[in-house]
Amino acid sequence: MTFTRTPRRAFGAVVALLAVGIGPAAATGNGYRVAVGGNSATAAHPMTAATTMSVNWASPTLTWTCTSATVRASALATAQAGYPVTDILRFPTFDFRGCTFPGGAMATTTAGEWQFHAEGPATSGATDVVEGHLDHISLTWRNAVCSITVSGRAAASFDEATQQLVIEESGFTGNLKTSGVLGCLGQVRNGQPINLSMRLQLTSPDGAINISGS
Amino acid sequence: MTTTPTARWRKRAAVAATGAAVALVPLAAHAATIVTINYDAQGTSHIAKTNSDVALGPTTLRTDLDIDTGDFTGSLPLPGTSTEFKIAGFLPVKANVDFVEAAPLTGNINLTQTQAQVSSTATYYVKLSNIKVAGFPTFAGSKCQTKAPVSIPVGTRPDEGFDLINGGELVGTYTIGKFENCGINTPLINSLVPGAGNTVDITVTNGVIAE
Repeated sequence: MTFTRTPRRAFGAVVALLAVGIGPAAATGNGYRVAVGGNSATAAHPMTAATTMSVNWASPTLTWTCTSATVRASALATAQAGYPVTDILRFPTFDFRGCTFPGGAMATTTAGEWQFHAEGPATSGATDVVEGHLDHISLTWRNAVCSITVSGRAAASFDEATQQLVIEESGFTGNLKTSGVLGCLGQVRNGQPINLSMRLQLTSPDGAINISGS
Repeated sequence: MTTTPTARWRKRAAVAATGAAVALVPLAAHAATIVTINYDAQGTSHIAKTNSDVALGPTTLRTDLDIDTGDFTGSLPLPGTSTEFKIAGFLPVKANVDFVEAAPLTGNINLTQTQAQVSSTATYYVKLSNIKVAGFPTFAGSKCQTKAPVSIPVGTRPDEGFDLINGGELVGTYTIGKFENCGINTPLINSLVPGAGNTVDITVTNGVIAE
């Protein structure tokens, strides 16, 4: 059996696509093309973020909540446009409010720059939900009888259609862990895994954030 | 250079407190991990057998809380009060009541999945004085009190939590034992007052960390 020239080329193209496993214009973690307001020139675009629901935290023995978390414009949070980009969203600080631990209110402070690092497939369309994780999480809760620091990473995804970043670390994987535990009536220990559920609405004055392959 | 646990705690506390939106007082740990919290406390106790109420407080509940274990000791000094009831439904009796602390308050704050639960026990001698029956003074002496201390267990209701700063409601049921040293009134008092099923309900508010 012999192939004519044209069918042979078509067959090769199909094999190539199958080897990649996804359609054209997709990326899987090695670098994305990010556009803000349709502009993919390399630039850090300012943005704000605010939770759309309460923030829920859990250890294997306790749960606690914050009524809200925001990133103000003055915090210089940014969406990084350009190519190739992997750490797409940067949050220098969060302002958590209304954090209540069993037994009372907790003051909350964050440290370091939290970053959304994309890993999943993304197309040139505007309705992808791009999987990834939020890196460099670090925050401390404190009240008169308890101090806890939680740090690590959390599973997260960015929904291009809604412009929401959904952080959903569940199953006590240990990606987020406690440290620096003081007091807490013996109910929290260092090294305990933590779950986190948080949904952020992102808004950039420069326009919608879009993530695509190369 | 080494630092003590307390010094490290204070250093971290100073850092963590920066920018805090929650109105919490600075950590006041002394010794190792004991935090003293003073609360306003006020309530009532219902004496089952006389079907009368006794006011408790207002007073200050002091707790020395071990923040590593949740165990605490403390005190709940109760100011003198009075009670009034009727014998056989018609003969009025009035008496002054004092709760004399017999031992430090002890207890524990336990964190459940979503709330803090308190259990504690206060111990008092219950002392009666200035007893008047139908308006007439009766001699009861100055040492008319329960033979044994009355143990009063109080705690949060199962479905209610306790806020370490805002406080909460503590309830309990206790038994009053026999009285002694009440002169010729001893048999009368012991027939009227001692018994089980007495209740206590104390509202604890406004926790302040002692410096």
